[in-house]
Amino acid sequence: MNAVFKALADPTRRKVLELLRQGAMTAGELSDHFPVSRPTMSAHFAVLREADLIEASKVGTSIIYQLKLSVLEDALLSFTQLFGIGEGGRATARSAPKARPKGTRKGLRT
Amino acid sequence: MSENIHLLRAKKEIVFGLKLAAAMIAGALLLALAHRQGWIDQEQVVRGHNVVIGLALAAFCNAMPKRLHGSPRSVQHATLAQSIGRVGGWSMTLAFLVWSLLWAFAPQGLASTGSVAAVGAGLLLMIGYTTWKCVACHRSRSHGGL
Repeated sequence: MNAVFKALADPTRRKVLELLRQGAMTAGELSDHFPVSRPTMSAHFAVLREADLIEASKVGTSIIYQLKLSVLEDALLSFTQLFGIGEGGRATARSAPKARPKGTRKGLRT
Repeated sequence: MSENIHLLRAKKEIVFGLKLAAAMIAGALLLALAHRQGWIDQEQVVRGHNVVIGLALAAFCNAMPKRLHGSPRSVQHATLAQSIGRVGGWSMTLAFLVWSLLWAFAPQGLASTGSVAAVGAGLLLMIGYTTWKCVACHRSRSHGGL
């Protein structure tokens, strides 16, 4: 249970779970929603996998991530999102909820 | 490597199931013992049994979304499995919690019919949602193929 709380404590990881709630995504699609490097995102994915909150499956050349939350963990995630627990704790935490895909950010600059 | 992971998972699930079964049997034995000692009457034994059964099955259904994971063929397939697991898990967990609450607090007549109705509604929701999603997925795939 400690691993679950550790995973849910970070807003970026919560945002990943929120995105995965809408449907399974590839690692690339998920990373595009965050203004952080791929290795950083891989570390976040590893923490979520360790807590058994997401499942990674290799299909062809891409890795598909999908949610693996129990009903209790799902309710806990909704609870933390509803009350904004842990918001604004870190630099990534503040940017994550407003994160846009890299393509969009590039599009805005040009 | 992946075979080992699957074996570990299967072992974990079997142990979890056995623990739940042991808890249900222990609960039933304790209630029977309490009845034999004259501490509780027959109605309380029936209520106690049903509360224990409801809670154990709610705990089992709580982990349902975690269990429904195979090897997806595509993102669409993974999304379908994920949504079916989530809706099924939530509906059955809530249904068995309602079962337990009814047997704990409602009059016996209402509890016996209401609990079955709650689980029936949960099952119907799960089967209905699964059918709807599978049909929608099949349709979108056949339209995409055309």
